[in-house]
Amino acid sequence: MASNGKDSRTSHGIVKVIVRAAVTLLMVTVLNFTLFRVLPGDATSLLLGGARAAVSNEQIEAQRRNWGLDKPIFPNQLLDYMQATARGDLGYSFKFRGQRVSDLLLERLPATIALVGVAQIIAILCGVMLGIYAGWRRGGVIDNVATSVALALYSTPAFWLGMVSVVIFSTALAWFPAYGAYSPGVSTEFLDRIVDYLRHLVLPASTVALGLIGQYVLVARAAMSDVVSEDYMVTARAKGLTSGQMLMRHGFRNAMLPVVTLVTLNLGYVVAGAITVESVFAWPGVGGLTVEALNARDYPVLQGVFLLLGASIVVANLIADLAYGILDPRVKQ
Amino acid sequence: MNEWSLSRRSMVKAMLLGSSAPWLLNSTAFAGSCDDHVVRLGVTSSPDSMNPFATWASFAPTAYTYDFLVGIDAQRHSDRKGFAKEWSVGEDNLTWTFKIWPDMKWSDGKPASARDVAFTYNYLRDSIGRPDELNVGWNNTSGLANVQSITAIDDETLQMVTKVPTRWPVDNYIMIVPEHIWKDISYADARGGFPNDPPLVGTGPMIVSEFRRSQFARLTPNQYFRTGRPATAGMILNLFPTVDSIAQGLKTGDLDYGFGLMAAQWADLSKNPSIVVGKSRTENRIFLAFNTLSEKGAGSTKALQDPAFRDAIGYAVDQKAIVDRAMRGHADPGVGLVFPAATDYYSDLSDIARHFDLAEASRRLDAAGYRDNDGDGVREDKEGKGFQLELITSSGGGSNGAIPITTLQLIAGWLGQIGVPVSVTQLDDSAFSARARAPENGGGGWDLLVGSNWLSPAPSDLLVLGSSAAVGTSNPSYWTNEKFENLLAQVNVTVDLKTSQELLDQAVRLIYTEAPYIVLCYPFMLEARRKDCFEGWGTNDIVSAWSYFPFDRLRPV
Amino acid sequence: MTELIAESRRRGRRLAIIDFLGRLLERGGAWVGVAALTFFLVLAAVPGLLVGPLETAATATGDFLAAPDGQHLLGTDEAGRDVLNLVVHGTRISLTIALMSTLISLILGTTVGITSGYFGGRIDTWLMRITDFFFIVPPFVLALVIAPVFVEVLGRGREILGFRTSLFVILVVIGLTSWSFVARIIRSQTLSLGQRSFVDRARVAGSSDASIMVRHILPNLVPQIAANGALVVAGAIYTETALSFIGLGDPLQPSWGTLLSLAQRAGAASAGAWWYLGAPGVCVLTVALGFVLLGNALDDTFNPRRRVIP
Repeated sequence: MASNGKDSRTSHGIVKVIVRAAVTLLMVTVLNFTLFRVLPGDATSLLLGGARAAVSNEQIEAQRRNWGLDKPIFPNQLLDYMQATARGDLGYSFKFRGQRVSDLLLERLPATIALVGVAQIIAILCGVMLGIYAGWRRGGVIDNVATSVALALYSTPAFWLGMVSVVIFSTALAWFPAYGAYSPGVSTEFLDRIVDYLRHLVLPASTVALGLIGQYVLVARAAMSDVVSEDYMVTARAKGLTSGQMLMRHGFRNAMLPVVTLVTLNLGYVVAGAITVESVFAWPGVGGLTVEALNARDYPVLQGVFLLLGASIVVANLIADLAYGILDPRVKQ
Repeated sequence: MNEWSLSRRSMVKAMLLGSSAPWLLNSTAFAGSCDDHVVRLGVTSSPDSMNPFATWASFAPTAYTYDFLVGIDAQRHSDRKGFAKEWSVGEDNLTWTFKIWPDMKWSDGKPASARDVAFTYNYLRDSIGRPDELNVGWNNTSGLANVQSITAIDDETLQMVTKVPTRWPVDNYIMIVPEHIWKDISYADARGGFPNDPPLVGTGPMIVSEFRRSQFARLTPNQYFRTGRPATAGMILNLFPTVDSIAQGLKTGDLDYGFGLMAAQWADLSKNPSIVVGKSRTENRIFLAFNTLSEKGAGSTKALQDPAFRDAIGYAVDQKAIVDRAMRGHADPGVGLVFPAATDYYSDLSDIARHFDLAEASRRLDAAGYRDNDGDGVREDKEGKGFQLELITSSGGGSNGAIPITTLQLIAGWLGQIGVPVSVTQLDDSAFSARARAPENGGGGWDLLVGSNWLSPAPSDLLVLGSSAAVGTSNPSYWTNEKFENLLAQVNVTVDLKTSQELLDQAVRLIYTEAPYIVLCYPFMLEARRKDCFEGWGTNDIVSAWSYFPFDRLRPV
Repeated sequence: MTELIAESRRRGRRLAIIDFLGRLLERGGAWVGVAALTFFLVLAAVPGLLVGPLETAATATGDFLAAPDGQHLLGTDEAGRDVLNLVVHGTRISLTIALMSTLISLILGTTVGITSGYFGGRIDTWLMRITDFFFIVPPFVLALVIAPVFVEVLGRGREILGFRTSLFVILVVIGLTSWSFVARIIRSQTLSLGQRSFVDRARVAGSSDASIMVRHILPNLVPQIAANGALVVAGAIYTETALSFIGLGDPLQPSWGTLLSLAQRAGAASAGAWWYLGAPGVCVLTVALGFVLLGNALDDTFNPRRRVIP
């Protein structure tokens, strides 16, 4: 977890946090650049697709110019690459016949956002609430069951849960479809399409959510039980505040701090975690794209995906740091 | 507050979920094919472009939109004709005359005639020899070098004159495209840049109207189709990454037809009362290829260039086990280049065929000079280097169907047992075909390759695996042989069946002995369709592999 | 005098260890974890004794995708191989990769952490920047992107240190991407240790920096390393399973993740072959859970107040 959160309490600290995020983003870009140019042999042909007729000659030439592949690596190529990236030019995909990588990513991103968004909502509703309850009432049956289940979920690969749920809910019970985001030939009515989409979303989103619930339960529980034993909670009880009021007024907000931080951080990681789940369910998002590009050794796409994921993680961390600053009760003294 | 309000909250949640479930499950979104009369197909191929000159991967769905002049199906079935109503060849065996169906129209209403046919062939032929020659896709220049001229005598008559006697004019499967669309497309664009966006313009029964890569292609009936507007309301070709989804879709009724099924799913579906399964011989052959290059792009050992080595390895491959364990009985065991479906030319080569015998393979390897000199269990080649062979294959479904991974495990197992360790690398289709290309195009550098080839039963296609012109495309082992080339050239200009059979047999035996390929099996096509919703499917082949049959004549039940 | 001190120190250490083990085993989680891990370590050590040699497609005898019965306790796969046999042999691959890559991570992380914490200043800042970066980017994504590059660099088909190339690549890549977690913790521990008097004394006595780090600070970090090491192993198991699942594993030497990938491709999910899917997954779950429980128990024992996961 980001220990930089404590910096966001002052405006000077906020600037520091933003600068740090920018530097990290830069490092991501440089690492991205370096990774794909240490390949032996003809890195140029590897990055431009070599002899695959999929990308046209004009595109190959354009890319050679934009990325400065004929110039020395440092600093010329690096600068060219940074400039091209800043312009949004991420190269052309081999596997997808010369489609621009940026277009591909934008095309696939909404599906992943939908998946991850819905999963987060489910995970927060179930996991955080369960964790808070378990932390509030330590040692009870619910607490033990919740903790055991949470630990088990935390240790299980989410995509395996997905495969199991396909066996149970698709093959055996036929409640939900197992693959893709669209039924074959669904009618063109908007409402019908939405319902069909949601129906396809249930299993993958639940799978991703299960992967998160474990963490959320554990962290919420830990945060809550820490708060419960704090001095000011004892004081509040002595003052005569009822359990409910105490929970809301003091406990909840303080317990929320690490949870909010975790949730925001996860926004960055879950996209990465969705890679395997999207592969299991053939969900047409960025994750599925990554696996396809990996198997096709489609380096421009891999480069683009890595940049996207790195950037989203950095941004998520930044938001988490800033949120920490806002929510940290010690600021509001 | 805690327990009670929490449980009340969860109760409300449960009620909400419960009440929405039946609504979700029964929504009208799932109008099936029986309701809207749209035929739903499931495939695992991944068409990438609707431009038939630019890609091999889009037979489905472009074959449903375009006609061939004659083609394979028209010769096998009299009711599956293409652009040509009838055809004949003159006494000299060089002048072919085709009668085109009268009053044909393109799907945009413009008249379709012999001129469009002449345009398509001449468009291809004129690109021969240029740097941007059209030789990268389904519509390509192979065979056109033998054609002297293609002329439209009038709207309904086409004449083709060849330089030497050949059956190419009726055997070729070039999709006929409209002149008024394609005449302004440059060759460079036709090779790749021109996407041929939907809605396509063709003379087939189903016109591609929407194409979403990796998801689906939607086709609408062609109101100007030759035998009348098809009775169905359209087609949707669903693209899936795995065949699993197709099997599922068939079971739930979301799909009407699927092919390329694996043995497990086929067996499962055959027990389903609403499904009819089909199994047919195909022109597909799965083979193990050796990289026979000696210079640029060569493999890791010179042994690959030695026919004695390759022949010995042939004794370590048990085709019967591959059929039984990898294909679950749904294949014929491999022998030579010719598959059983080519009834005119198939021979089981029983007099020279190798048999499976690991001890024999070891003996032959020893005799050829590849012994295990240092006793580490691994043989060394004549340069003293221990063997470590890399086997590449495609992991995807590909357009010819998936090759079961069990096949690779079996091969690696057998070869490992005789002291030739093999490592397996699975690549996706595009990465695989990039490595299988000719060395001057960046391919090569591998040792063994397991691939498949599915072309027509014409002699030139039967022998294409050893053709020098096809090195890097249909000849992945890069093998060339002068005698073979001569035989191939002769076969190409032989029209008499008996002579052609003799020549072809010689060629097949030659390449079998030289063994740049060990043919593993000839897989069957496993397909399945639902009984409800539509009728008019084929009996022996539910859906043709070579034309748009039966989508021109399916009717709602 | 130093002899006596050394002797008493050694005795003290022995007592401390015994006391520690006692406290550790008080916790229920530790028992479960240790039991599970011992079971799988035995499987990994002698798979041949328990189920015979690894079944290949050539030696398979069973029916295809058959449900579990008396002859095949966990059913068969799409080639007729016994799933129990495959899973037991897969234990060795999965565990070896996980443990060895964790070793790499621990070495890398400890080195960076100690150096950073000990020297402080500019070295600290730069090392921590790099660590932060590796901490932020999830190991799985980084591994996914690096792996094909490594395969290109290392070439194909060779066996390195007894591992096929693809497995070796996975091993190295996980090791190179999972060290930051350890580095941060080691660094903060080193910082607090560095102030202690025995370090000053050693410096006064003329010991070099390296010797101080290795002989004095490192031994005090062992508890921390062990506790976090267990959690790193759990993460490594996940990463290896996920990487093998998406296709980077070796189908000829299947780990659990590769088995899941083979099951997926053979259509086990739609054929309802729950045994083929279930067995490798349950194993991954159990081993990861075992390490998590063990790691928590260790952490609890060392730092009873600082509960990471109570």
